[in-house]
Amino acid sequence: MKIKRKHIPYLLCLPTFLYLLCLVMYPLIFSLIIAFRKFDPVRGLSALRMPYVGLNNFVKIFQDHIFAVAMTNTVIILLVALSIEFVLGFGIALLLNRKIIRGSGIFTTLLLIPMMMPLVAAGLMWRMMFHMDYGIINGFVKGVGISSGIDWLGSSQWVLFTIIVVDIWQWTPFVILILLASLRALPPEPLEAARVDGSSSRQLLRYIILPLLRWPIMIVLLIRMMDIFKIFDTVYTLTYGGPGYSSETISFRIYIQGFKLFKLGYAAALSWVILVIVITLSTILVRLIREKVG
Amino acid sequence: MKSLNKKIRNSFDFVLSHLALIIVTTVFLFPLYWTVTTSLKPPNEYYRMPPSLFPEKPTIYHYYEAFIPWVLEHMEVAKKFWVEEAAGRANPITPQLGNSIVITLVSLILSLAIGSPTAYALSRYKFRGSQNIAFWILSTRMIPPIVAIIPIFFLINKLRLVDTRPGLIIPYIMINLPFVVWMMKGFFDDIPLELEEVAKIDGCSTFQAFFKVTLPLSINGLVATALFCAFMTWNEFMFALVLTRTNAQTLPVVLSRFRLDRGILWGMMSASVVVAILPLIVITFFLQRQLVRGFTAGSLK
Repeated sequence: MKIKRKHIPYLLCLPTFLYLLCLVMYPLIFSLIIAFRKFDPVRGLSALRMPYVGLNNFVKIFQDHIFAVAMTNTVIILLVALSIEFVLGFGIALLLNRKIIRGSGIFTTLLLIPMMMPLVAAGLMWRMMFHMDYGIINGFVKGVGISSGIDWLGSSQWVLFTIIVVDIWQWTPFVILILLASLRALPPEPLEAARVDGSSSRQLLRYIILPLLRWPIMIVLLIRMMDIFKIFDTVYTLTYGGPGYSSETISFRIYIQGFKLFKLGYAAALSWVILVIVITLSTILVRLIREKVG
Repeated sequence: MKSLNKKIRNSFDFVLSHLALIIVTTVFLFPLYWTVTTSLKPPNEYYRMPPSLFPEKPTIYHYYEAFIPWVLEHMEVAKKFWVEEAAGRANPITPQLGNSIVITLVSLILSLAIGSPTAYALSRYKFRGSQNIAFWILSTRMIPPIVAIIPIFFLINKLRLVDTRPGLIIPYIMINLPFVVWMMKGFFDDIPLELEEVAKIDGCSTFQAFFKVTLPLSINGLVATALFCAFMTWNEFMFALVLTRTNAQTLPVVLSRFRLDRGILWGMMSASVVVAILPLIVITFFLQRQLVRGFTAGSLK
């Protein structure tokens, strides 16, 4: 059989298409099936042999008090971390973009390093620094004389704060990276024109730069939102959801339910809840990209 | 007088801006500094309050401990440290380092082999449904790994690949593919189509035109994409945590265990962290420009 020319692009796409179909579409359908079933160790790890329980798993979500805590935690982390990351990152990007700055390349590269680290490593490094007895942060707190040391990771009122700090430390660089690249790509004409007309730098920011950057800002915020909804690695190494369950997040809750307690059906049902949230966010994102790309 | 005033204000501005940047950079790099110095401190220096900012008696003992512990058997200092670290000794993490290297390399090569032809087709041919395929591929990136992990665990379990390297490579290719396609598509888009057409006029077939013209020109893009995939695979934690037990464990998994059954072996932990992040810092220096493309999957260039 001779391959026709018009078939070539389809053939080139086929491997990727099949691969993603098997490893993305299959899991989605599969987890929807087991979301209505429950894992029974006697019957083994086979989806269709798991007993059918109807909507039980979904009903349980609303009765699950810890899930409500996990959801609240995730939203708190999202709101606090994201707003600080955005303000800080935008400020630093504007600073790095100033003409008077010497060596902005070196500063940028150094600032990007936290973002490149494994989340696991970041969690461990900060766990060491937040340590109650030997941590540098308590060393500083005691040295300045603010208090006699705070139990950062062992008290439920401070533990979320530590997760937020690590997230800000690791992902502000991402905001800097994207916004700096976008600032550098801005067309110079409107900025020049406004300067000639005598606008102050605040007016420049408010009326020229912000509207022109609307697009990258939205992308950054959406990507970060989706990432925070998935936050897992940092929680796992930094707090392991503790003390008690006071710092659990949605992803961490699903992991514990599925792979520690083996409530695979319930975990699948939970994972569909976060899937719906993330799909909503990502549909907005993809639609934005589509508008832009054409 | 006025110009002098302006000059003073300008130099004030200059100093202040740089000072702000230096402070911010120092704060952001401090955790890294702290980990590197901890990895060089003997145990009695990091179990101390207040901690010292510099290692007083720097030692590379913890690097031996983490990677080649057998050389320590004959060292007197080792016995002293083992007593100070009441937590005792832990296994070296050399096998996990090996796993991470093999799994990262194999999955990035396979992802590039599967993904770049697709990227080429999406960039060069306008065919029915090409836009939809491109966006469908992009949208798979958005699925949270925690959603896919349960079914993929069933799948890998069924294939009897739990705790093997292929068992991790299979899902890692899935994670990498959308990035490969979108990054490579962007790079192919940047190569003018005319070059290929000229080659064809000179008598090259489509395949020859691809291998002789487009491929050499996209080497930079390939390297950038490969480095980005390497970065993602090297750092991936959740799949590795669920799909491995002992044999195929990767670095992030073994690192995460330092918080649990290994007590607070900070020296060894820091040494392992330093080795795990070293390649990534090198990547940052090479990849800085392409990072935007990778992280936004080509939605901003």
